[in-house]
Amino acid sequence: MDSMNRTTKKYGRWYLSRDEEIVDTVIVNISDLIEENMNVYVGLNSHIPLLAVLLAKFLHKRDFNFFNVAEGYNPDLSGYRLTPSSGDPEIAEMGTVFTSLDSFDLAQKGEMDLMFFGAVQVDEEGNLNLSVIGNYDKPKVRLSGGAAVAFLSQLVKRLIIWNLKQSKLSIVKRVDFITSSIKRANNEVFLFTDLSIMKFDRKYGRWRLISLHPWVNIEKFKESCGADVIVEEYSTSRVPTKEEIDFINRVDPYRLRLSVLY
Amino acid sequence: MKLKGVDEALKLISEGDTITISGMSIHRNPMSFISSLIKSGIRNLSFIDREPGLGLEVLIKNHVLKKVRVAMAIMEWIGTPPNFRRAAEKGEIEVIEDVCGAFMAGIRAGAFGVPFMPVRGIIGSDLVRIHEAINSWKVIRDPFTGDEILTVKAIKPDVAIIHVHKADPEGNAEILGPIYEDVLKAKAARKVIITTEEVVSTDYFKGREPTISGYYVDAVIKSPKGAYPTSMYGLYEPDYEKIWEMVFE
Repeated sequence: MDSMNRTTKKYGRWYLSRDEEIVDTVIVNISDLIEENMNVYVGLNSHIPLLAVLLAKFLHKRDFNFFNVAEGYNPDLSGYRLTPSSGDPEIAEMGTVFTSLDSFDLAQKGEMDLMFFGAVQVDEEGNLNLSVIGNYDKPKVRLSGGAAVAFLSQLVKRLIIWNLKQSKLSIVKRVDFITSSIKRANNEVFLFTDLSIMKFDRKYGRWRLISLHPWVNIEKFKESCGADVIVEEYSTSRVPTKEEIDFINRVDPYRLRLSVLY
Repeated sequence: MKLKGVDEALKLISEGDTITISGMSIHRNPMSFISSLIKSGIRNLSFIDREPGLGLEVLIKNHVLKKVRVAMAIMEWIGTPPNFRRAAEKGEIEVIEDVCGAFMAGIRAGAFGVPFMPVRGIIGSDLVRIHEAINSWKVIRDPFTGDEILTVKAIKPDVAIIHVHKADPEGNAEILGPIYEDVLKAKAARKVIITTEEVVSTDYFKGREPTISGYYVDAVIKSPKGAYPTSMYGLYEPDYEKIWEMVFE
């Protein structure tokens, strides 16, 4: 804990803004969950997971299979620069074509290890809402839709959910609409926010606080959370190294990644 | 000889039909044909696809659609298509949210000529209730294991509009780069319109399997830059300024 705090102080000066500090902290902690020999899939509008994958593969040199919505299998993205599309077909140009149909069949066969989704609402029982705010038939807000979440959330071995606007409106007691329920599966599910990292505790059927980001205290966490979360022993989230920050800024010089905060 | 003009191909689409289009989000949408469709005055269409973006958005903006069944409508970094959102919130279009795995199962069933297809996962989602009410999904017992499994009724669009890199006058077509579910869409649809960057001679496909066989195809339209301003793999990137203008202005 002390060493983590020291690291924050040591590297803090490389950040241009708090926004980058938040997003880059999330990216490096997600990349820590991408392990050797995994099969990993990245979908549309997913710059945060795409950066985490690139970091794990090309900076940390971890050997895993990367599948994606651009349908490029293990593309050589060592010199890649992010575009506004995480499904950029150029990604396929740097690998061989492997369709999403085939990638999702891998998931049905139990061979997809890791997938990422952004959720607008998450509730304390692990339900995810990416569909509507309000009533489904007469929505107050019509969202983009859950894409593959209802399908893959139960099939992958490790699921990562992100919502970088943690508040009582986003982390709730009960979602307005259950786009996907993780209750039926027995996989590992992590929830990344701008304040914290949580993991779904299958024994209690509730989220458990794993770590707070270094600039967050427990009071701030609690007042920004509408769900009953298990808070027992928790740590401080790892902050990015200078090497990681440089890598992320080289891949995303235009800071497209920051749009998740707004 | 299936090479046709746009006006002739538009006759394949009737008021009330269900259409599907090629590509995804802001990539390889049949944009040229879509603007002709908008100008044609054909209205009250239903739209089915997995992860559409710009093509869907301009059809909604121009009041061509009444019903939309998609797993996600997304303009990538631009976010949720604003006209899709507005029309759904105002009740101008009916939105039936799908799931990627379920769309894939349904379009496979349509392409394979079987009545339905099982798909794993999904059960526990409120979307099951939405789809059971319109008879497009059903939870059944696996006849072999007795476990619950979701089944998706075959998806058979009336017309698929697919933009490709190369096509010959018989309708044989080649797509380079990502293919998405375009082959299945062509096989499942009752009618298929191919728009192509380039028309090649029939010799080009001799002895090879085309991405889409001319057997399935009703019309081929020469349409260079036909996906613009969405991207075309290997030929052009998305024109973000133009996309922004089409969506917001």
